[in-house]
Formats: sequence, C-alpha cells, structure tokens
Amino acid sequence: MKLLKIISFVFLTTFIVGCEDDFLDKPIVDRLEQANFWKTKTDLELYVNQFYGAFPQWYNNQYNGGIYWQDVNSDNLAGITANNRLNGEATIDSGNGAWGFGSIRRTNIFMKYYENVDDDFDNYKHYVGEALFFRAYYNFNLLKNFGAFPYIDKVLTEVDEELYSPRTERNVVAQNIINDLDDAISYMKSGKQKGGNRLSKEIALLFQARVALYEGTWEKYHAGTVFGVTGSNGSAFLEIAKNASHNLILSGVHQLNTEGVATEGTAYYKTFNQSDYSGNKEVMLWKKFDKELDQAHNAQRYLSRNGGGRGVTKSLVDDYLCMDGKPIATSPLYLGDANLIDVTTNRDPRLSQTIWLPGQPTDVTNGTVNSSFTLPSLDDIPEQICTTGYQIRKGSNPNSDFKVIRSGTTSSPIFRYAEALLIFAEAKAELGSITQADLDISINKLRDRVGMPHLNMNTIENDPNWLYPDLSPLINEIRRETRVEFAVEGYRATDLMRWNAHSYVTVGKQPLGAKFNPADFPSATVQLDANGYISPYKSELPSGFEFVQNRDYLLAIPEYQIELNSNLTQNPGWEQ
Amino acid sequence: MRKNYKKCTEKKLLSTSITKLRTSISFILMLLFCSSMSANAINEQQKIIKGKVTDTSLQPLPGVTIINTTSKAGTSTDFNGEYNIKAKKGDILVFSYVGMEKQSITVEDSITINTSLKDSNTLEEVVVVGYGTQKKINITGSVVSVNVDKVIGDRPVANIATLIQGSLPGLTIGYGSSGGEPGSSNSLQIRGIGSINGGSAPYILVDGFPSSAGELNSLNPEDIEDISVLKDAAAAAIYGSKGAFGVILVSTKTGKKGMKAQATYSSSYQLATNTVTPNMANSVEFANSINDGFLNSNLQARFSAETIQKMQDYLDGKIENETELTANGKNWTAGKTGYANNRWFSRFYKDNVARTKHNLSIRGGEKKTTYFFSGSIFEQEGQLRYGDDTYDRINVNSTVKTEANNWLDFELAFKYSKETTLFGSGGLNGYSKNILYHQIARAHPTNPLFDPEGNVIDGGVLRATKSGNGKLDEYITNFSFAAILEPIKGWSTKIRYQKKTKSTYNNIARLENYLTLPGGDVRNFGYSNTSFTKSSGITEEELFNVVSTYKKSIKKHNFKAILGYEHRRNEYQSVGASNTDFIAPLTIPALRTALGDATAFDSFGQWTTQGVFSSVQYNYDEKYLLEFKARSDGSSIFSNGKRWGFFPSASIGYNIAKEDFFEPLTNIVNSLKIRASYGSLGNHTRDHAGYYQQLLPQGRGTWLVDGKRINIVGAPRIVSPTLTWETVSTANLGIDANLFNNKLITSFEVYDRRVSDLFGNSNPVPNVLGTNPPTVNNGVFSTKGFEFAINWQDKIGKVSYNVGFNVADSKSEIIKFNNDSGNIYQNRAGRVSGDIWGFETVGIFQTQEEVDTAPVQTRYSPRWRPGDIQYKDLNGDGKIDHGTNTEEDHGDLKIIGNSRARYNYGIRLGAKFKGIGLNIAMQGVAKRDVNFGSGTNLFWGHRGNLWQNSITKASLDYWSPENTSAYFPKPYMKREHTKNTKAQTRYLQNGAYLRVKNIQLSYTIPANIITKIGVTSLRFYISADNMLTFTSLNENFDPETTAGQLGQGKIYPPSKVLSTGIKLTF
Repeated sequence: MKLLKIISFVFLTTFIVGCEDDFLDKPIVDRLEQANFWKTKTDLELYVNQFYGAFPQWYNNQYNGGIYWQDVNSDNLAGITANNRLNGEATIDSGNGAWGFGSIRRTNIFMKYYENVDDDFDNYKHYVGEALFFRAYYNFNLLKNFGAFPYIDKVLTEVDEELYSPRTERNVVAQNIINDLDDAISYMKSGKQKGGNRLSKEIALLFQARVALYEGTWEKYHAGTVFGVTGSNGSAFLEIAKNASHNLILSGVHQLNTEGVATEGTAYYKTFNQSDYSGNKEVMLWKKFDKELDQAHNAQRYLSRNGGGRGVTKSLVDDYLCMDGKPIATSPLYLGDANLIDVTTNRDPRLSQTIWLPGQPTDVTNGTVNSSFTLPSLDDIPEQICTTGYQIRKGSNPNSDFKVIRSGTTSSPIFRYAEALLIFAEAKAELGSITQADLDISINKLRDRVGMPHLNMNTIENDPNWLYPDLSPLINEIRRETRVEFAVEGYRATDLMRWNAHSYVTVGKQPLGAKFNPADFPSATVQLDANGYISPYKSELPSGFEFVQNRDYLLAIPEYQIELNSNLTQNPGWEQ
Repeated sequence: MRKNYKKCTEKKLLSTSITKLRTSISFILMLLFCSSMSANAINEQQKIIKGKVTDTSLQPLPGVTIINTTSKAGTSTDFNGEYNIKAKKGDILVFSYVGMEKQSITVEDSITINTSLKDSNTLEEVVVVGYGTQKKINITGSVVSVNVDKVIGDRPVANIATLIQGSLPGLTIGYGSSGGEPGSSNSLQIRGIGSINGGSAPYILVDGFPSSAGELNSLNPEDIEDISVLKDAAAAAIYGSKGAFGVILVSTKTGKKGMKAQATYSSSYQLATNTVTPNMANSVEFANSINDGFLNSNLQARFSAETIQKMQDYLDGKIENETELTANGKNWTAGKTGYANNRWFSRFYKDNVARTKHNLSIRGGEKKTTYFFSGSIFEQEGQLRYGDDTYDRINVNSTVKTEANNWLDFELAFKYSKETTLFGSGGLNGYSKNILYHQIARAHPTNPLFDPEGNVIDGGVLRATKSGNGKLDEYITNFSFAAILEPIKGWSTKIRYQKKTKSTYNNIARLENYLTLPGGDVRNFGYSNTSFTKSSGITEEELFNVVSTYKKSIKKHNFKAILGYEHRRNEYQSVGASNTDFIAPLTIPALRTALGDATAFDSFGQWTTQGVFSSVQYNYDEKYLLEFKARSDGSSIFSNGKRWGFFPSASIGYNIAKEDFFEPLTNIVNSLKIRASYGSLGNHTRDHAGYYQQLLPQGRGTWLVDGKRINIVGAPRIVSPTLTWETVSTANLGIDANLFNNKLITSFEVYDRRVSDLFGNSNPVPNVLGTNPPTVNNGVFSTKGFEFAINWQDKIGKVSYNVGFNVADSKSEIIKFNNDSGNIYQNRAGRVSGDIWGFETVGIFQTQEEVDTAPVQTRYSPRWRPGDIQYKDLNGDGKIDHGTNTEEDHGDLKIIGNSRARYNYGIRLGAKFKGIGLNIAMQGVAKRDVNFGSGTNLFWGHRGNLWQNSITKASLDYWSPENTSAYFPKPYMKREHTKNTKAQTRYLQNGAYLRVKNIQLSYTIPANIITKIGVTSLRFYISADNMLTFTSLNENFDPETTAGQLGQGKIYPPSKVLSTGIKLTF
C-alpha cells in the first residue's frame, strides 16, 4: 500500500512538472522572422535603410577629415608617407578587403521578396528604386576595384553552381549597373527627398552618368592595353553618360548653389562646410549630424586647425587658372609662389577657398574671430602636420563649437549637381560632339559662380604645362575644370584610373609643396628640392612614384578566391 | 520527543549567543519538518559510557560524532575529546569524523571506551558521482576528486577555481578574458579542447544544480566540501548532453547526524599586488628608440637632440618641472618637445591593495535532522587607482535535512549571493572599458601630465580616471527542495526541484570630463555627452529530476540500478534604458534627472532540455565491475525532428588485489584496479539557438532622416534546419593502485575522445555567396591524452608529510573537415590545434651584401637592408614566400610551434609537526609556445606607428649599426614594420612556466591551552599566492595572461597575494 502511494506520488509529480506540450519548442521570439516581414511598404523602407552607410561620409565620432582627406591616393594631396598603391607597393593581398559580396546579397534579398508586400507597386516602388540604386552602387565599387567579376543578381545558396561563375566581362557588368539604374530612375520620386537625406530620381540619374562616363572613358583610354575591352572605344557608354547628365540638367530640379556669391563671393566654400543642406539646390544627398542624437564627428578639430598629416600639392595649386582665364605659365596676372598670398592672388577664387591663407578666420565664436590662420602646421607632430605647406581648407568651418570632441555637425555633399555639368561636358567632348552651347550650360555655369571668365572652345590659351600634352586642349581644360571644381573631394584617384593617366601625373614624379620660407619656421626640419620647394617624399621616393602601369590599375583578385573557384582569372600583372 | 529534545539541548549547550541561535534555528526546523516523527522509547537498562577519542598521534579530537546505532542516540566529543553516551551491552557505537576512518565498537561490560581514529582509509573513500555517491574502489569511469578541507586546507582565496587549480589532473584552470580583474571568472576545461565550434565548457553542478564558471565565482570557497570531476563518457553519461566535455560536481558542506553544533569563524586580511607590470623604457631610451624608427623609415626624427638633452637633464634632476613654456611663451612642452619621464603604469596601478574576508558557519545535527549555515563577506579592492575598482561579495548558505519518518526524508537548501563589481568606464567614446589597458601601454613617457600650476597637459591619458564608472550588482538565489523516499530497503527515489534566480543590475555612468588646460581653457576629455545607462536582467532556471535507485546484494553479487527523468527550463529577460543631458551633474544616478530622449532596450530568451536516463551497475565481490549507462536527450536548440539523441556507455573494472592469489602481496599492494570504458554523449551550445530560424537583425542606424536616426532591418543568414547534436565518444583506460599500506596512491589513465558530426561550416564557398555558409554537422575532431597522479603520505617521527604530483596532457587534431582548400590557417583535416605557422629565421642581415645574395624576400617588402630579418628559403626556390598558404604549397612556412599549454602539472607538498603546518602548492605548464603577433607592441616595442608603440626596456635591444648582435630587428615607423615581425622561430617565446601558487604556514594552538578560553580550536596562518614564478617568457607578460582583448598583454594582471588569517572553532 505504502509502495503504491509512493509510486503514484512519483509519477504524479513527474507528470505535473514534466509533461507539458511542446516542452522543447522554444524558438527565439524577440527577433523579427522572415515569415513576418516583407508585408508593408514600411518593411521595405526599414530594410533599404541598412544601405545608407555605403557612402563616403563622416561616420559617427570619426577622427578624420572625411572626404577632404581622401585625395592622398592621388596627385592632389601628399600624406605623411607615400601612398602604397601610387608607389607600386600594393601586394597580391591588395584586393582582399574589397572582394565582398555581402551588400550585393542583401540587395538581391530585397529583389526576391519585395513583391510579397501587399500594396500597389506604385505605392512602394520608390524603395525598389532605392534598392536597385544600392545594388548598382555596390557593383560599381567592385567594377572600380577589380574590373570584371562574377555579376550576381539573385540570392545564391551555398550549393549554387553560380558560386563558381567565371568573371563577367567588365562592359557587361557596367551595362547591368546602367540597367538597374534605368529602373531606379523610373521608380524613384523626383526632387530632393527628405531634404536630401534620401535618394531620388535625380541622384540615380547622376550616378548613372558617373558610371557610364567611368566605363566609357576607361574603355577609350585603356583601349589596346591589358585593361581594355576588345572592340570597344567606350562610345556607347559615353552616350549614356551624356544623355543621363543632359536629362538631369534639363530637368531643372537642381542648380548650383549660389548662396554667398553676391555678398562674400564664397558660395563655393559654403557648399562644403554647412550643417544643413536641406535648402541647398546643389547638394543632392548629404548626411545629417546631430550632437543631441550622439551623431557628430571631429573633422573640424583638424580641418580648421592643422594639416592632419596631409597637404595640397603644388601640382594641384598650379592647375588653377588666373582670373584672366589663362594658366600661370602665360598669364601676366600671376605673382609667383614666394608665399601663400602671392600664390593665390589673381587666381581662380576656388583656390583660396580650398587652401588656407593668412588672415582667414580659423576659430569664430558667435561672429567673434578668436584666431586666424597665420602659417601652415609644418612644424608639428606627424599626424597634425601639413606636409606641403598648402593646408586643406575645403570643408572647414571655423565655428569653435564644432571643435569640441564629438561635436562637429558639418556635413559634406555626397552627390552634388556640379558633377552632372562636368560629366556632360566631358562625355560630349570625348564623343567629339561638344559645342560652345554645351560648354555654356555646363562648365561655364561653374565659372560664373566663382567669377571666372568663360571657357571658349575657340580661344583656348595654350598651356605649356598641360598635364596631358598629347590630348586635345579642350580635353585638357575640361579635366582641369574637373580637378579644380572637385579638388580634395575624393574623386581624383578614380579619374586618374579611368583616364589611364598615371604615366602623365605620378610615375617617376615626386609631389612638391609650397616654396619654403625658413624664416617662418626656425625649428622645422623640412625636406626641400633644388628650387626650395617642400619635397615631402624626397628621401622616401628618390626616383618618384613607382606605380606599375601594367598592373596597378586594378587590384588583385584574392588568391584564396581563385583557389576556391578555378574559373576565376587573375587581373593583369598579378598572375604568379 | 520535542520536549525531550529541548531539554536535552538546554542541558548540553552553553548560553553563548551562537548556541542560542543554533538552538532556536534547530527548534524552528524541528517544528517544520519533524511533526511526523515518532519518539523512540529509551531503554531503562542503559548505562552511561564515557571515553576519550584521539587521533593516531594521541591528540584529543573534539567534535567526533558518536552514534548509538541501536538507540539512534548521538553525541559528540568535547574540547578534550571526551564524550558520554547512553548505551547498553551489545549496542554498536559508531565514531565518525571528517577525514577520518569510521569506527564501530560494540559495547561490552566496560563503561569506558577510549579509542583513536585513523585518517580515512582511502579504500573506503566515497566519491560524489552522477546523482549519488560511489566507493572510489568501485568506480570504472574516469573520476578525480578533491576534498577541500583535507587536501587544500584554509587558503584564503577569492574563488574556488583559484583554490583547486593544479589539484585535479585533467582539469585545466586559467584566467579568463578579463585576466585578474576583481570578480572576473576563470576558464575551466576538462581534457583540453572539446570541440571547434561546439564549445569546450564542462558541465558544472553545485549540489546538483547547473552552474557556470562565472557563477562558481559567486560561491564562498569555505563552504565547499569536495569537488569531483567526471572526465570520460562513462562517468558523465548520466548527465547526457551537457556532460560531453566532463562534469564538475561541487558539493557544499552539510551537517552530520548527531554532530554537536560547531561554529567556525575565520577571517583573513590580504595584501595584493600585480604579478607583472610592463617594465617601460625611460624618456631618453624611448625617444632614441622612436627616432630610430623614424629614421629607419626614411622619415625625420621626431625628437630633436636638444629635446633629448632636456630629457636627460630632467632625469638627472637638473630640471625641476616636467614641462616648461615653449619658445613662443604660450604653450607648454609636450608631444614632440615633451621631456617628462612618466611611468604611466604606476600612475594607473596601485602598489598594493587590501582584501578582507570574514566567514561564519554553523553545522551540526540531531538524531534526525542535520543542518549547515554559513555567511561570509569578501571585500576586494582592485588594483586600479580610479573608478572605485572593487569587488565585494556576500554569501549566505544553508542546508537542512530531516527524516520525516522511516521512509521519507526531506532536504531543503538555500543559497544566496550578492556580488558588486565596480570598474572605470574607460573614458573613450565607442570603446569598452578595456581600452584603458591599450591606452596605458602606448602612452609616451615624455609627455607631461600637469603644468606647474596643476593644469592638465596630457588629457588623453587622464581621460579614463574621471570619466565615470560602472557598477554591476548580481544577486543569485538558489532554492532546492527534495524528497527522498525509501519504501523498502535498497530502493530509494529522490524527487528534486530546484530553482535559481539570477538578477543583475547594471549602472554605467559615462561622464564628460572637463580638465583645465594650461592657459585656463577647459576642455572635455571624457565622453562627449554625459550618459547614464541602467539595465536589469533576470534569469530563471528550473531543474526538476526524479532519480530512482535500487540496490541489492545477493551474496557477493552487488547490483545497483538507476532510472531517472530530468528537465531543465531557462528563461531570461532584460530591460534597460539610457539617457543624456542631466539637469545637474550626475551625482545621483537616476534617469529621471535627465532631459534627453531616453532610449530603451530589452531582450527575452528561453531554452529547455529534457532527458531520461538509466544506469545498471554490477560487481562481484567488488572484484569484477561492470556498468552500463544510457541517456536520451532532447533540446530546444534544434529544429523539430532533430531534437532528440540517444547516448549510451559501458565500462568495466577488475580489482586484481581482491583475487585470492594476490593475498601474499596485499601488504604492499593494497589495491590494484584496471578499468576501461567507452561511451558517447551529445554536445551542443546555446550559441546555436535559432539556427533553424530565418531571423532578421534589427538596429538603429547612424543615418538621420527627418532629424531622427533611422531604424534598420538587416538580412537573415542562411539557416541550418538539419543541425543536430555533436556526438562525443570517449574511450578511457585507467589503472589505480594503492601501495605500501595506502601510503602511496597513484593513478594513470589514457583516453581518446572523438567528436563526430562536428559543428562547422559546410565546405568553404567563394565570397560571391555574400554571407557565411550555414552551420552544419560535419567533421571529426580527436583529442588524445593521459593523466597521471601520484601521492605519498607518511610520517617521520612526529612529522607527518605528504607529497603529491599530477600531470595531464592532451593533443587535439581535426580528423575530418569539409574544407578542400587546404588553407593552413583554416580548419581542415590534419590540423593540430594550436599549431603556429611561421618562417624559420636565419638571423638578422648584417650587411647589404648579405641582403643581395640571400633569397629574395620582396614578396613582403620591396626594400631589405642590414638590420632586417633573413628568413630561410625552406623550399629552395630562391625566394621567400608563403605560396598559396595551403598544405600543398605553403612556400617557406612551416609549423614552428604550438600555442597550447601542454603537460599541465601540479605539485603539492605538505608537512605537519604538532600544531605547525606547512603547505606548498605549485602549478605549471611544461611546454607552450607563444607567438607575439606583429601588433603586440608590448613585445616588439614598435608597431609601425608613433601612437601604437610601447617602448619597454626589453624592446630596446634592437638592431642598429652600433648594436649588431641585438635580439630584435631594426624598428620601423611604417607598415614596413610587419616585414620583420612575421611569425618566425627567432621570436617564438617559450611560454612554459612553474608557479608557486601558494605557500602557507599555519599554527594550531594546542587544545589544552585554548579550551580554557572556551574555544575548540584556534589556528593562525600566513599564506602567499603567486609569489614565485619560473619562466623564460618576455618579462612584460604574465605567463597565465598573455592574451588581451585589445592586444596581447593588454589585460588586468593576476595578483600576488600575501595573507594572514585566523580560524576559530567553538
């Protein structure tokens, strides 16, 4: 009896405590599941939001000068030490970090599922356009780094045959990008969206023009080299570039920013150092910062204080025309380069809005100037030095509030309309169909803003220092305008690549800086060339940059990826 | 009965406050549990037996429990070892005492029974095993155990892991990722690496309740009775999946039936200091070293000769202040012109800090009820000078067992702990507090801290000190209730319900930190916004099990069968909020005083396991031993259909010494047992929860739209719906022997553990996939090893002594893995865990001619010069490279060493003379290679960047034309640094060490002196931890903490601790 009681006690207890339905069914419930997602327009918006980190910008709390420091990979800026890639020091591992397909997969996931949304396509197509834009954006990054690569437009599984695809020809990749952007253009809303904090139809148009110009000029100038596309001179893409940029210009949605032209003549400077661009007609996309939301950066601790270990090169400074529209070699207005004042006097006003000049305010509190620029930071710790004596000013804002750690809220344009004007002019010029009227609606608008004389196709002043002496004077002048207008905005390195231009501007050359005045820097130890110009790499690069021209225009495909996929071929010059 | 009991206790006990307490507690417990007790009639014919109990050296033994097995009456000896108890002729008195052999004496005519108890006969030793205990002699699996009081004694350590390190062969205990931080938990591993992606953690149970390495920390070491480690599948099988990589069973102290109430108070005071603090170069050495780096990279020297002269003058005392105005009269010398000589490590770490510990416990038992209560307080001051770096702990522990009637027992246990840890916040936006170790290591000694007026110059280094701190409170309550039913003799069933609740409250203040700069400017060096984050979490865990055991002996056939059911349910949730913009400076940490937009966050999770298990044990005359165990396990981690696994094991043993033919040898060989086992267990980890679900990560972006941060939903990973248990199979072969009258006890075993269905990626696929391939069951991983232990215990005259040594080793290798790439840095078949690939170093180039004639090394840098490293062209192809980093083509790379700690050993020495005791515990690793990567600035000194260097004294021995026989190569200030600092034989460090973990000298005051002051025993000791270490490792690293979350060696170091203590028993 006792035994029975005990047995029933044991079993009853076990039953009560132990036997619960689905005891082992305990999924993770505090996360979103795929099955519950892709239902509404908002889901699409939330998903596409993840891609906005893609653009060159200041990230939260970053300690750097943002896009204004990026030109160290070109002949526009000189860093503390020579750029590895420019100097032929890139290794076979150079492409390891860039060979990423994660973002492309994520955009493809969007493409696979967005149609599950229970709504009219017209109500959510803007987000489809955004996702297509981003897919194009990520593919363009791969195109720039590697040329050809396996182009993937669906969600692969780990057993998919397509994982072992050979590289898709670069022109095919470029065309796919153009096609995605065609759709993005047709889906997205026109006009500045969210004050320029979201993508728009016009941004897609500009980006399409950029991609097309890139591929068009690449195919044209690399034709016949190991990097060329057999049988193509790029004109098909140049046509696309021309049309897209022209459509953007004709749409009239955007205009150059002219605020500040009339009163101070600094509309150009102010296009790069504002905290709010929502009313700016030129800046098409920008990232907003807000200290209260813990989203701020430290760029003004450098840009309006020191050189940040960088300096504008003499080569860039010398490219600015004089106010008479003539180059410094021939213009009577040129005062020489004995000091910063001389070098900027009578020059294209964009120069003095790009490098610091004595007397320009560097620290201002509520309109009161606390300090002004006197000398570049030539004699400082390496990370703060101005390597060349021409100190970067573009993007700086002297407001002292921005100098407190993590308090800078100035932004920089991510897309600006000026690029469309330059693309239009360049594409037309490369196609050989450019007219004076084309110049007047493009480059001459940029000249007007800063008060420079117009570029006249028929009266181009001969410049003995043209960087590309075997190209036409007009191409030289359009490239000069591109370099000057977009100086230190991070575009130059890509331009040099697509123009196949390293033989002109870097190979065997040492970047130089300003003329050094020892009296200004009694304790600085600065390397100088024979003519007294600052030569930051004098000892480091005794024979100039050693960019390897049959190799360094593209990065190496990661060796391991070739091992995994024997259908992949290596880029020229990197084959072992 | 109750009346009798009361009367009895009142008579026996003195009216000290403690005994009053004991009485009242006992009384309450009796009320609670003893209502169904029936009184035992007292036999009128009883007489009073008196006597004295001593140990073998005739020292009186107080506190010996004496039970009359016939009448169930009990008592215990007093301070003089004397007792009296009622008994009649023919009754059997059982004398028992912890650590001593039990003795049974039948009452004859004499009314005086004096006896002496021997130290436990190890043949009778009982060991805690899965869901019960077993005589050690009958164990066929691999089990080691240690009785804390007996083997280790009173060592005033912060946590249990420290206490047993080196005592249990096969159990490796090391510092965790937080190093020696106060309150940080240790890493525990049984038999080396378990699995590659399935974890290696042993299953830790405290009194049967699942715990973790972190929670072991929350126990009071003084409450621990013993620790058993079940190492092979056969021993752990009954625990199923969680025991795949061994089980650690921690048993806390309990009372003993009939044991006189005993109160023990112990207290210790300790002084701790860092074992290792990096030995940094002084200002002049630092400046010259940095300059050499710059010059070698064709850059200009950072420090001018003039500044270096100033440094020298300052060192020589010719300059008073550590900074002065620069030529312009506005700035203070710092950075490039700094000439100070700051020893930053000393500025951050205290020389020595105090720890105190108090512990009070009461244990005892009546006829039917036993109890144990304890309370302790531990306070540890951290080594850092700021952030209120401390760790405090309070423990309360209680266990009561009682017999309700002759077939029903109840057991009630309650444990409570509160831990409080305070630590600096770190001071740098976007980084954890650990950024500090990095910041100290790389600070320039030449930078001054203050100008002569006390204004801050180097705010970067000071930012940590006043930027707030975090306070973590952890409360763990553990409640357990069990009923034990024994309706018929030999069949007992234990039903047990346990519940653990762990609550954490975390407060982190991150402060703006305004420091006054020279010239009066005030600048914020701390966080950009003062913020306060408060969060709390609760984890509730339930364990329910029913274990039924049937024991039967028929003649010499002994059977035991166990059948059990168990489930475990775990649910956790947390909620927290954060805000900025405080109305007043953050003095009262409260979110309600903030004006900003608060952010809130939470989490919820749950998992369950369920299992049924059985075991059959049989032995014939304790000579032939046989055991089978099996368990079916289900887990919520896997998808439906993949949840259940079946895991069986078998083991056999042969006790040769029990054979008749062995009889003549039994004086020398007291026992000799051979045992073998084979079994399998399932393994999984909670890290794989939800792998079968397509989950979309959510978060908040940094991009702003409409002036707000956008919300983001990300992409799901590729799911693993077929993922299921890893199967861990262990074959174990062991031999145990007791020799020379049990003076020598030794054991040796070898094992082979194989993990199949290893969690791993499916075959590596091209990056084009865009995500990681799913986790699947693939591959086989093998760990082979051995363990050996030997202990000798004897007496020379009046000195008793013991010597113990144990060593364990294991080697792990991947047998099969889905990876055809053969990449040497990836998991693949044939990869031995810990293998370090590197170059063989020829030496340092001394001349350009040597460079020009050596095999070309341009794969790694276009420029090679004297002072650079020459690597050996192992494959003779005239160039140095790594091929394709694959097994087939690894160029000139080879396996240069192995980073795993091999041959972990422990040595224990003890001697006792009268009341004086000396104990020494040592622990070591006989073989281990440490490779300090290119980025380890504390090793190389340089790291190719002015701000990332740590110029130590040791790093000064680098190549220069004046120092051509240097150890280190030429330093560089650029990426070129990496060409000379590749993994290579020359710089592979020997990480072997021997550490004297503890030396303790104690004195126990003779009983006859202290009884006069009413004390049972009184003991004093001094103890030293980690005082001596023998190693040839670079002096800036502690051999036990060479890792670091922000780089090797950047970690809170372990401590050397000097303690004094007292232990008092009433």
